[in-house]
Amino acid sequence: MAPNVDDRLSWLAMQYVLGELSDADRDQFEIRLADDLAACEAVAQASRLQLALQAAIASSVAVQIRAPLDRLRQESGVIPGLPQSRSATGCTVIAEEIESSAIQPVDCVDIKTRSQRSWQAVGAAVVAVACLFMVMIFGWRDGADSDRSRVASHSDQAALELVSRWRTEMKFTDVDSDDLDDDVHDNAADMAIPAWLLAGVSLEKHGVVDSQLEDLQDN
Amino acid sequence: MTLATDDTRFANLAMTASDAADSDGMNPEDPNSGSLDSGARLSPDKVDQLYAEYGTEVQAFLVGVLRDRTAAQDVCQMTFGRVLEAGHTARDETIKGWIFKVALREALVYRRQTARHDRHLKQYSRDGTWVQEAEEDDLVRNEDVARLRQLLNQLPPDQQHVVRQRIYDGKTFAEIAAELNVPLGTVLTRMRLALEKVRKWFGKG
Repeated sequence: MAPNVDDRLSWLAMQYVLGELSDADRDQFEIRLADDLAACEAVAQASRLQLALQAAIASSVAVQIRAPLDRLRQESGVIPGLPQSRSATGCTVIAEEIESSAIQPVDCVDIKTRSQRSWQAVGAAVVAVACLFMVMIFGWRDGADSDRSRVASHSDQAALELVSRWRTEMKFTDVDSDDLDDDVHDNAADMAIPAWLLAGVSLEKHGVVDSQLEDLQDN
Repeated sequence: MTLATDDTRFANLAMTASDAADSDGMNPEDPNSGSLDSGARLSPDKVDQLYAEYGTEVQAFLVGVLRDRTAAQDVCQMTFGRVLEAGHTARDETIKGWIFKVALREALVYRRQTARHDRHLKQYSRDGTWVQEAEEDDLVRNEDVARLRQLLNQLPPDQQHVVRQRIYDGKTFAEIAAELNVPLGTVLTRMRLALEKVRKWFGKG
């Protein structure tokens, strides 16, 4: 279906507003503008449409950038009322830094092709997964360390109890280095063989009767 | 194109616009001469009424001609200054056409005087500054922007892409065709079809 006159004029006016006409076509159209009110109105309409489209595209671009960053902030999760791990706080800081650098003035935003937008989405998903992974790792390590410290303290306590009990049973005393010589002599005294043992050995050797041994034991 | 050639071209166009304005059943005297009796002029209230009725459309027209919002506002003021001086020479039924002719003439004279800045104006529009300025005046309404955003999402993806690349990124149709590796005519067709749909949808709202 061929475009009607209005559509052709509107298209020509939009090309003129966008600066897409050749120099000759532009001059010709401007001569027409001097005598054609409909052409002037078409130019005015095309100009307003272009400005409105620019504003609409700019606002839709801003929405597309903000949505994945909001999801990332939610997943890295600062939950009010609960103690925050450093990794979760770090992910939140990272998300805010990405947002502050990504939410640029709209004139700096570049519209990507569909494939590039999909790669952007993949990149955002990878960043979200990495932050979750960090939360899991740091959370696991924090938990393991606390468990190990609890086991260590329990083991130490048990060991001390065993040592103290053993000392009590064996009646060991702490040895002071200054008293080593005295202790040696004392030990030597303690290690001396009792006379009755020696006597018992010698009597047995010389055939002493058992009754005499009993007498000695009574003494 | 040399500046001298630009001057000649602009002078011819301005003369053509002036001739057209003079031939519109008006007083043979030059509307810009300012030599008319002040008592015969349009009243300020009448000019205000004309500005309220046609001012936005005239300004949008001048934006399309000059591609510079600030220059368009300046030339619009000059235009209605001429309306105050010589608007009484036009018939009521053709006053709108007369205003647009005066606006075109003023715009061409302005462009002639600032011819060496045309390249800077094109770069100015590529930087997206028009987007920022669109929020400052009444050429673009917020409700229109919101509705247009929805309409754009309903376009086929290939038409959406061309519209975004041309209107927002400021790439030429030739550049878009080269990037997409399609003929220039294909890009122009996609843009034309997209604009027809948007205009129709927009007109129904």
